[in-house]
Formats: sequence, structure tokens, C-alpha cells
Amino acid sequence: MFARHSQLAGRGLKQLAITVKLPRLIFHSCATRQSYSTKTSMREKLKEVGFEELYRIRSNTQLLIQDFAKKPIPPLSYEFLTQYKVPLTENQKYTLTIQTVNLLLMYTCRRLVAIQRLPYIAVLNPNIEQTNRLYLRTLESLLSLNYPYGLHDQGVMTKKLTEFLDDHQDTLVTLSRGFQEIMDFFPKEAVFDFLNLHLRDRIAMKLLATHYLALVSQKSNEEPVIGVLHKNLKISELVRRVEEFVGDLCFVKYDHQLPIEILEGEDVTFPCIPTDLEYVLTEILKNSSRAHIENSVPENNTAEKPIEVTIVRNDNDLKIRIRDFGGGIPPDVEDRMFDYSYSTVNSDAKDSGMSAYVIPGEDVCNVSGMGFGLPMCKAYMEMFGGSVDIQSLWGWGTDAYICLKGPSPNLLK
Amino acid sequence: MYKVKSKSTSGLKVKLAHRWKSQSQTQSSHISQIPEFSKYSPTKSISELAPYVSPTLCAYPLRSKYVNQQHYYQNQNILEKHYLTKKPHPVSLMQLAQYFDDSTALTKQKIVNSGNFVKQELVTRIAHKIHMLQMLPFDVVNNFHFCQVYESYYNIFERFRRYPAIKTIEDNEKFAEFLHTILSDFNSLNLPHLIMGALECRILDLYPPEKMDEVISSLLRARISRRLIVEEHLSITSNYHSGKKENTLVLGDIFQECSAKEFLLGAKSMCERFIQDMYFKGIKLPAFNIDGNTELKFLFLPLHLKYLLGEVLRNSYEATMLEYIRLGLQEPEPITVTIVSNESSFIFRISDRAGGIPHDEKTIWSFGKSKELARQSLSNFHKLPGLQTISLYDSVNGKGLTRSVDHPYKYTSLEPINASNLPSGLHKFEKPLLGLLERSSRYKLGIGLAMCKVYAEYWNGTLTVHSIPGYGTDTILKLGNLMYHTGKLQLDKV
Repeated sequence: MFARHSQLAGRGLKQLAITVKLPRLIFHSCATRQSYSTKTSMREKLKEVGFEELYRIRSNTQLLIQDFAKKPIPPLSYEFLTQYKVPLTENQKYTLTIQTVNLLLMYTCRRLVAIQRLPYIAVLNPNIEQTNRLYLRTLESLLSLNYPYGLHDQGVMTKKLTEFLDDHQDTLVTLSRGFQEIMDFFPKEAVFDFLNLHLRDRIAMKLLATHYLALVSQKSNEEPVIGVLHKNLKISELVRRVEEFVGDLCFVKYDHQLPIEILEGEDVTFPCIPTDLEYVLTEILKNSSRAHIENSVPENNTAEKPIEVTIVRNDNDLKIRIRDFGGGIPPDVEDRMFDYSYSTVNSDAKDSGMSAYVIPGEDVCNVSGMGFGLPMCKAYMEMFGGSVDIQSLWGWGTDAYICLKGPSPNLLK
Repeated sequence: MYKVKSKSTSGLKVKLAHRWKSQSQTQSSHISQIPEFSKYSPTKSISELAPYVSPTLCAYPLRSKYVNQQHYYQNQNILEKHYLTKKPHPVSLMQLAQYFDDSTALTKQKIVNSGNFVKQELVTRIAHKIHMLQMLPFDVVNNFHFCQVYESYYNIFERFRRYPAIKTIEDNEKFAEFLHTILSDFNSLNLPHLIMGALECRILDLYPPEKMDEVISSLLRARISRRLIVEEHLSITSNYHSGKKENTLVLGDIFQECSAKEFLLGAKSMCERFIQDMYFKGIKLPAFNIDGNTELKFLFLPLHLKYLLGEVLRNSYEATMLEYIRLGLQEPEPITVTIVSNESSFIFRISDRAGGIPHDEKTIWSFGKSKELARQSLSNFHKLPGLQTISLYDSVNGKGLTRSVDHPYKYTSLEPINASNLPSGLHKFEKPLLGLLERSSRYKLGIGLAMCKVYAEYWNGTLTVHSIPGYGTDTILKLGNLMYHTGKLQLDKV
């Protein structure tokens, strides 16, 4: 269940994911074919539109994008996620649809404006243009809802949001490749700023869509979840699950698996969004495992030494400390830890920022040498008032502190 | 949402709480209302607009020959690596006339050198302009009009780049033909598209007006330079073939001696015809006085001079007539032009008593207008006959233009920029200088003075306005003395 929209599923879950994904894939290829034929007919259609009419269409679309991008987006909150409890009344479903559509419209337009503010030549880069086109398509899809009556049609909404999640699944790879190509003439800071906002908006959009789909399909209130929010997640279980997944990754790469020891808090439960926490735990445990294995020498034999996890709950706060003995992070990299590290794959690994400390082969986390992992962790945790802190003890090991703020208990009743 | 306990709070606190409440409500409640789209699609459902989103806003236009998936990399490998690394040669008028040879005689070698210089120079210059466009924000250049301009610039770049080196006088002959087609072809459509693109960006607030002004001005200056370089080459080629082996004037036959008074009187009668056309024949016309150095004769481009004086004077005439009608005067107030010359420049001061320029029209001197003026101007552009049916893509794709639409902005302030300075010769342009400036009032594009400013500044001059509200306006057109500035790197205004 945790891995519903996560790319980080264990072996068993992966198989499940494939069977689940299959019909979607078939559907998707239909959609592609369809969009191809609409593209050719669009050519004809554009020709038929008069000069003045085309101008109105163009400028109204631009205006719409600008206006919706300017609307203030209320931060995603636990209040929003828990406002309706299962089972939802028709009216509640309707309101939730409107809210989700509104928010997705605003996020989409905000992203589009950000893309369109880049230099012309940057967006002509096919990788970046693909992202541009993706958001244009999302906007198209949201606008074609047949307002206002279409908002009552749950089936259409479900289909659209499923499509949306599918479309935005593997887009970061392309985008980061594009940014790497334009780095020559585009200032690094501007790229980071763009990516920071882009990742945050993207996470929020996916969460909104996932939450909607989960909530409207949920039949009984016996389940311990409200949409994407788990009311009482046993944290150690999630840690074990991640351990298994990271273990698989390490096994593939190093033929070796690392033990994880939960020092404290085996029984702690906490209300949170499991997929978000799962992402962060995976990211950090991966880094730690790699450090333990790669820096292992006969004197310390860190490859056999367990990573230590401490879980402590105080009312509405959860702290997880992940302590490793993998030698820490070199001081020259420490400052850039939360940057998107840009490096060519063939450059000296020790000199290429955090990407060098990430297990290769994991698309999202290490995209052609670009480390998205830690910045993404930060974005995930900060969305609901949490944080991620990394403390390096160079020459010894690294402590990661994950801090989560939970929803106030009355929201879950 | 927020309960206010009025018992325990003071009045002020209640007020603040109320404000906070209403603020936070408007902040989040707007997401619970059905999104409102009627502003963007007043008559149809927004879902009918949806299919147009990608085709109109994606980066690769459907009909484009150059802007496609491969463009980014091709541009990087060719334009960036090989042409941006070269700097355009700043050229003075003197150098251009002599082609690095002190004699004024035209020789075969000089013509061939000139041809190669023109080819190399134009491709470098256009590459730099393309680069300038590339660095503007995507939504500015991806504009319907701007990206056609971009396309045509790229087309020019590619065609010049691929043109083989000129080795013989026969090669040059072919090259001259090639230049001629480029000048009289689609290139001329760039201008209205450029201006319309700027206006659309202004209306949508996509780029700061001052910066847009600079972009347009710099593209126009570059355009004047490119044309002069080409025309000069065509002129000397033509002279060489006609047996005239001496370059008598400063620059081919482009520059001529102009009588200030004659040009002013010409502009005056043009304005009078315009006014009569606008109102009725027999309407009282303002008295027109010329004082100062009335016998002044100076070397200049006749076409540019005619355009500049005509445009500035027309503005005074229009304002004077409006004021005459508005106040119900006995007769229109007079217009006085003072001609002044000094060592470095020629000055025309046009004084009218038309009540000054209303505050909101100050932007008539710029391409970056108020949104309202930009809207008016754009809608007048849309009325230009033929403009609806033509696209730069057609010419880039080699379809050519039909005669009836190849000159959509005849009679507008855009026309003279496309007119040739070549009076005669082998490569004379077919298009006659049709009733320059005598455009009908319905095509008032509102950019005439902005264009004048670019032209005046190009020739080391200025265009300044002093308005005395409730009285009148003094417009000062200053033009540099070309003979004084010959050593100056005139054509560096790439």
C-alpha cells in the first residue's frame, strides 16, 4: 500500500506494480496514438482559424496562464487532507474535485510561467521543451473538463488524474538532462532556483492527485488511512521495508547487504504520509549503506557494522536519527549537500558533489550525475513542516535527523 | 472558521480578528469555487479553447522549417561555435566606400572583395541578432509574430552561410542577384511582425517596455546597417557594370545633396494632402513658415530625410488641425520650422501651437507604449490589408508571396524602412516609392515617431520633444553631418 505511487517498491511489490500498470500502459499507448491524430487534425484546425480569432485564442490562453499562476496557493496542510472523512458524501466529493482542479490549475500555470521565463534557446532544448509540452498537455486536460457539469463526473476525474500521474511519472530525468545541457549559458543559481520550485510544485501536484484518487475510491472508514495520510503508521515497519529495498539495491551493486539496527522506538506509531517518509528513509539509508560498504577497510570493517536507527515520538513530533559509521562527508562537499550537483558522469567521482555519494542506477536520485536525492528529501519533509538535517563527522560517520510534524489529533477523529 | 470571543477581546482585537478571518477566507476559499473562465473564452466553453493550448504555445511551430527537435543542437554546433565567436566589423562610411583601398576607382578585385566582405559581414551580424533573440525570455520570442521573425532571421543566416565564396566578377553578379531577392523578398515582412510581436508582449506584460524598446531599436538599427551594406554593394556592382568606374560620392549613389527647404516644402504639401484627405478639400490649412538657414544644402540619404521630416511634420499638422477644430478657431495656428546648421549637425526645430502633447501620449516616442495604446495600435495593424493571409513561413518554405500581399504596409510608417535607397542602376528595385507617408488615417499605427527616433539616432542625431501644455510643442530633429562623421564607425550599430 505504501508503494502505491512510489518507484521504490520491494521485489514482491514490484511484480504487483507491473500487473497493476499493464492496463494503464495499454491505455496510454492508445492515448498517444489518439494525440497523434489530433495533432494532424490540429494542423488543419489552426489553418481554418482566422487571423483575429487566432490572436484572441493565443492571448487569452496566455492571459489565463498568467492569471492562474498569480493566484495565491494555500500551502498543502493536514487540515486540507483530513477535511473529508470516508465515506465521502456526493457533495463532499464534488467540493474536493473543485478544490483539486483549482489547485492543479494554479500549480500547472505557475510551472508554465516559470518555464516560459527561461531564455528562448533554453526551451528550444528538446528535453526542456518536453517538460513544457507536458505541462501544456496537463493544462489542456484540466481545461477540457466540460465545466461546470463535468466536475460531477467522478469517472472522468479519476481517469484524468490517473493519466496525469502517469504522464508526470518519469519526467525528472528528461528535465535534468535538459538543464545539464543548458548550464553553459544559464547561471547555476537560476537553475537551482528553478529546480527547487519545480520539484516542490511537482511533489505537491502529485500528492494532490494521489490523495484525491485514494480518498474517492476508499469505501470503508475501517482502514487506518485518510487518502494519502496514514493515521497511525508503525515507523519501524516502514524502516524494515526500506531496509529490504535498499538491501536489494546494494546486493545488485556490491553483492553485499547491510544490517540495520533499530536502537529505540520499535513500537512507535505516528500519523504521517508513508510514501513521503519512505522516500526520505530510502535516500538516507542508501547513502549510509554505500558509505559503509565503500569505505570499509579491514581495521574497521564497516561493511558488517549495522546502521543505527533511533525513533522517538513526542506528542505530535517524530524524530528519526539515522547514524552511520561510513566516514562522514568531505568538508568540501558538505556545503553543497543540498544542491543539485552537476557533474559529468566521467569526471572524478570524489569531486562531483553529492552525486558521488549516491548509488548509481537509481534514475530519480542520480540522473546522469545529477543528485536530486537530498534536495527532494528536503522538499518532501518541509511540505508539512518537517525537516532533514545532516550532520557529518568527517573521518567517522554521518548522522541524519528526520523531523516530522504530525496532524493535530482532533483532525484524525 | 475562527471563533472570536468578543467578551475577552477589545474592540480593536475583534476588528483585527475579523480582518484576519476575511483575509484567510479569501485566501483559501477561492479554491472551493468553480474556476471562472468566461474572461478567456467569453462566448464558447473553455473546453473548446483547450485543444489550442499546445499548438499555439509549444516551442516548435507546426510550420517551422528550422525551429524543431534538432534546432537546439544544430544552433549550438554551427551558430554558437562558428559565428558567435566572430565579431561584426564596425565600418565607417569612408571605409565602406573605399573597401580598404585608398583610391576611389572601382576595380574588379574591389568588387569581388566587397562581395565577400558583405557575405561574411551579414552572416556574422545576423548571427549576433539571432543570439540576442535567443536570450530573451521564451514567452517573448515564442510569440506568434516574433517566432516568425526568428524563423526568417535563421533563414537569412542559413542562406548566407551556405552561399559559396565569391571568386570572380561573374560570381559576384550571381551574388548581387541573390542579395536582391533577399532584400525584396520576405525580409520585408519582418517589420510588421516585429512590431506586432512587441505590441502583443506589451499587452500581455511579458517584457519591460523600456527593454522592449531597446530590443526593437537595436534590431531596427541593425537592419538599417544591413541594408546599407547590401545597397552599397549593389550600387557599386551596378556602377561597375555600367562603365562608371569611379565612386564619385561618399557612398555609391546612395547619398545625395539635399536642399533642406525643398524637402520641407515637399513634406508640407504631403501633410496638406493628408489633412485634406482626412477632412475635406478646402479646409483651412495652417500657415507654414521656414526661418533660420533656409538655403541649407547637405549630403544625406534622400529617402531617410524625406521620411523623417514627413513623419515629424505630419504629427504637428494633425495636432494643429485637431486643436483648430476643438477650439473652433478662426484659422489653424501656424507651424514654424527653424533650420540651423553647425559644424557637426543639422537641426530642424518644428514649433506648433497645438496645445502640447497630452500626458498619456508621451509614449508615442517609444515602442513600449501604454497597454491601451498598444491595443489600439495592434488592432490597426490587424486591419492592414493582406496581413491576415501572409505568413513568413510560406516564404521560408519557398512558396513565395503573391503580388497583392507582398507589401501589406504600403502607406504606413513601416514602408520607408523597406524602400530602397538605390535610385537607379542594374539592381534597381522594382517597387516604386509609392506615395511615401501618404497613408490614410485609418492605418495609424502609432509607431511613426518611435521609428523616427531610431533613424535620427542612427545618423548620429536625436529626436527631442518639448511640450508646453496648453500652448504647443517644439520638436527638435537633429541629424549628424555625415561629412563630419565620416570617420566614425557608423555601421557598427549592428
